[in-house]
Amino acid sequence: MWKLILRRFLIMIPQLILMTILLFALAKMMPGDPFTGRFSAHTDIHTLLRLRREAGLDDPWPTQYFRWINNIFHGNLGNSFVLQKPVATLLGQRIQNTVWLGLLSLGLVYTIGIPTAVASATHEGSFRDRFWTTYNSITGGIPAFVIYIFMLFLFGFTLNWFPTTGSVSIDANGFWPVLGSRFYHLILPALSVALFSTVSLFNTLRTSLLDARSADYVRTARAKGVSNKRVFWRHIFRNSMLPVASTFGFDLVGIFSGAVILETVFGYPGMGRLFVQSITTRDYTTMNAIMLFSGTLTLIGSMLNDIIMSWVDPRIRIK
Amino acid sequence: MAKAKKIEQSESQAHAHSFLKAAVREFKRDKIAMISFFFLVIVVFGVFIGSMFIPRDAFSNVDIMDTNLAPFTNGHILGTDDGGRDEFLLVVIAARNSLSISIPVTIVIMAVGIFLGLMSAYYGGFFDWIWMRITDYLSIVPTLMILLTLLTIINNYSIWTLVWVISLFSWIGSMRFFRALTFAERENDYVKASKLSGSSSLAIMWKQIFPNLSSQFYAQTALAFAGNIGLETGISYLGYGLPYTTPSLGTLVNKATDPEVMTQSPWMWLPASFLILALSVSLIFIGQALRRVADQRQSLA
Repeated sequence: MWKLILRRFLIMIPQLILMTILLFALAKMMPGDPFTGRFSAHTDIHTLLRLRREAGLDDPWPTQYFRWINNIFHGNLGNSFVLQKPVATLLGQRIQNTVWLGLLSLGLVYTIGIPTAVASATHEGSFRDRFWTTYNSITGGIPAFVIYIFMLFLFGFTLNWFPTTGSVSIDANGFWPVLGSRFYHLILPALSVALFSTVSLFNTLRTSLLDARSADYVRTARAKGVSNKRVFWRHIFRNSMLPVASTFGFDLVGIFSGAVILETVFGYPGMGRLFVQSITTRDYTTMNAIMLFSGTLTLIGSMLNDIIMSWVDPRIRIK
Repeated sequence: MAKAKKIEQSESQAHAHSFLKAAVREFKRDKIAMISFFFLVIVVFGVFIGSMFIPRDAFSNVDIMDTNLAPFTNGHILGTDDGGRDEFLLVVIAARNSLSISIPVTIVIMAVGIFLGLMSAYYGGFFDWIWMRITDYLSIVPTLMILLTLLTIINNYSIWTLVWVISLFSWIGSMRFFRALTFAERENDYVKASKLSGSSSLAIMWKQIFPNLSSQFYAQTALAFAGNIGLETGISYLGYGLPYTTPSLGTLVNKATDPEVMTQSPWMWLPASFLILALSVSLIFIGQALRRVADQRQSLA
């Protein structure tokens, strides 16, 4: 097992290096540099050139690349030259918001997805089954941002049930009111994600439940005289949850990749919204840091995925 | 040799014929898929033919006497926007622009996907290994963010630039799909028999394996098309698709970011949103019906 984790970790390193090279190339393709926005028309061009040289922007690319990597390892992601703040501090605040939103949506996806998949699989071919299967294939295919806008329009603006922007109300003071207000702001975006992204969980669980029904161990359990209910929950359901568990890593990562559009629609100050804001202001340092962060996270997620998968299914380990 | 070729040809014709027949049967049985199909055909042809009759300056023409009109006033069926432009004409133009990106993207990614998928699975070995590493790599990078970054770096682009940039990250799904199918198909006896009788690899891939995957190909195309409409309108919604003078359906939905427009004049964004939804839902129904046809044919074969 440890050998596998180590091997999987070693595979991650070249991928990470390739990704940093891509992001570095993108950063170099972007117009402007950290000094572009900082000076007015009266600034002496020679001062500008001297500052550029001192910051190492005239060095050859490889040198700059390794300096950038070195800085990242020291927790220095550079300065946002638009907001005049270290990018690390900017990100810190936003990541928290995104993580809370993501965890709540993921929790809701599981609470909606698992019961519906069980209901579908236990009544295969019934109206209930066809309804949920169709529901999932439609919701899984329609563009998310249109759904978010409809949800915001209906529950936010028309019915006034939920706040329409931000992550916390300004009036909230004290620990509990702030916590309550934060949660209240999370509900609508999280619900919008959860209602419309159960498709992969639903399909995986439904298929594996249906497959498990005819497995040998189920027949053995039945032959022993185990009650139907017990066969289902103790044998079929538990085994069918394994493929679901193994996609947990990717589900976690999906939170961050979906954040760009989700947070833009709901005006939620998380990482995705910060990304869109930094594109608008051409704040390339921040953009790059966010991309590096979510790319690294995806790598870790896919590693987690493989490890969980081989942990729950020893056959993969041997291969 | 000539005879063999003739047999091959008539076989592939029979194949196409039976697919069409099976598809027609399935669509007759599934009324929703049938309605979706006609809706899609009407929208696509209506939008492309209709936009030919719209004067080129319909978008730049600002009419300050008719701004913010509600639907069905002064002869504007869907009302007008803040510049007095007719919403209905805008939706038609926007739908045409959206489709003229998502259709080429679908064609490109399906062509690349089937080509690389077939080759990769058929040849295997190093060729397969290298392409799998490339797709692995592209699936871990934050695609949407890199796409948006690329679109800000390239500051002067046309419809075609947009098509290539979107395609650059979207072919992975279809390539993996066809690779998996080809892997299963490759093990069949007819492939081995054909190889033994001396057919070239290219002939086996394109004249024998590909026709057997063709029904899956059509189903996947419909679903990929739905996905690409979503991707393109999503990018335009964020404001990074085509320039403002060539609006996409996403650009029209973007008006809803202004809370006042969202609540007070929903006719400015609702029709475009509904059209996006209707297009993707009908494509999903079509794709599913085609997939059922493909599965039936697979079980028959």
